[in-house]
Amino acid sequence: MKKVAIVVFGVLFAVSAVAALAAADKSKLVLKAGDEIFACNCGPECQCQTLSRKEGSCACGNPLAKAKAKSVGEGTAVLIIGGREQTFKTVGKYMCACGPECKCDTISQMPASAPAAWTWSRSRSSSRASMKRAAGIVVSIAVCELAGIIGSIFTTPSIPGWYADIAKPSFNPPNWIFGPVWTLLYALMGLAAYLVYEKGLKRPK
Amino acid sequence: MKKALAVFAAQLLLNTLWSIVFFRAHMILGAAVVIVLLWALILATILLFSRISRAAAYLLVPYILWVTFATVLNISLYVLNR
Repeated sequence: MKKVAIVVFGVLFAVSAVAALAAADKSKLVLKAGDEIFACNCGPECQCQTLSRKEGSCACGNPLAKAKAKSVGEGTAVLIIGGREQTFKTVGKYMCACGPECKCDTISQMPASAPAAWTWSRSRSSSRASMKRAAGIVVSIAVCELAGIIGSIFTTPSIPGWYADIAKPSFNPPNWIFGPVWTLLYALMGLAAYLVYEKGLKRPK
Repeated sequence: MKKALAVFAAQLLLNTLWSIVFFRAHMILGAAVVIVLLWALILATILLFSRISRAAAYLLVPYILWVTFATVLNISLYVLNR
């Protein structure tokens, strides 16, 4: 009973870690007052309102300028840019689609007019994309956990008999530790394999 | 990507094979040979993954550390029970 509880806990831990990873919403830019950021400097009439943590060009094609967050509100932020103040939205209609490890946090209210350094994805469809991603991660982890479950079919019958009777070294860990450790390790393996698979799809080589 | 995932699949198969050799066949020395091969394939997987995704490579570090420990344990069990 205790063993079952440990395994269930391990699986829940792995699943919640995965869910947290997949749920990260890239269409929101989390800013606080005083943050330095790169912003579109085309003026308040410009509708693109591109914001990014990295240098680059905005959706209208001009280079982004250094800006500083003066105050941050609900979904908006007042930035000081080129000596003037301008209110920017911090939830993008479009956002950087360069993958989970990209930290540019680029958001925009307009799609890129010219070929940009980044690719855009609409945040409206991003919930579908992250659902697909979460499903991919769950399948990948399930395949790895299955390898462990198949192995455990052979393991379990020998634990109280043969394995209990052989001599063990002093550093032999207690039996209950193997279940949770392997559950976690198979989950990490599944996640790693998915990341490689996902990157490989975007960069076929 | 295909090569990296193929090596990954091979290490996963060896991982399951180890359980069969050790716990089903009770071959402690045979299992030691399998686990050393497994360790080498995990290292190869980490190296191949690191070229594609650094995060993926880091995710396998606890795995290779645990298998290193398991290899020591397996060899100790052989020495104590031969």
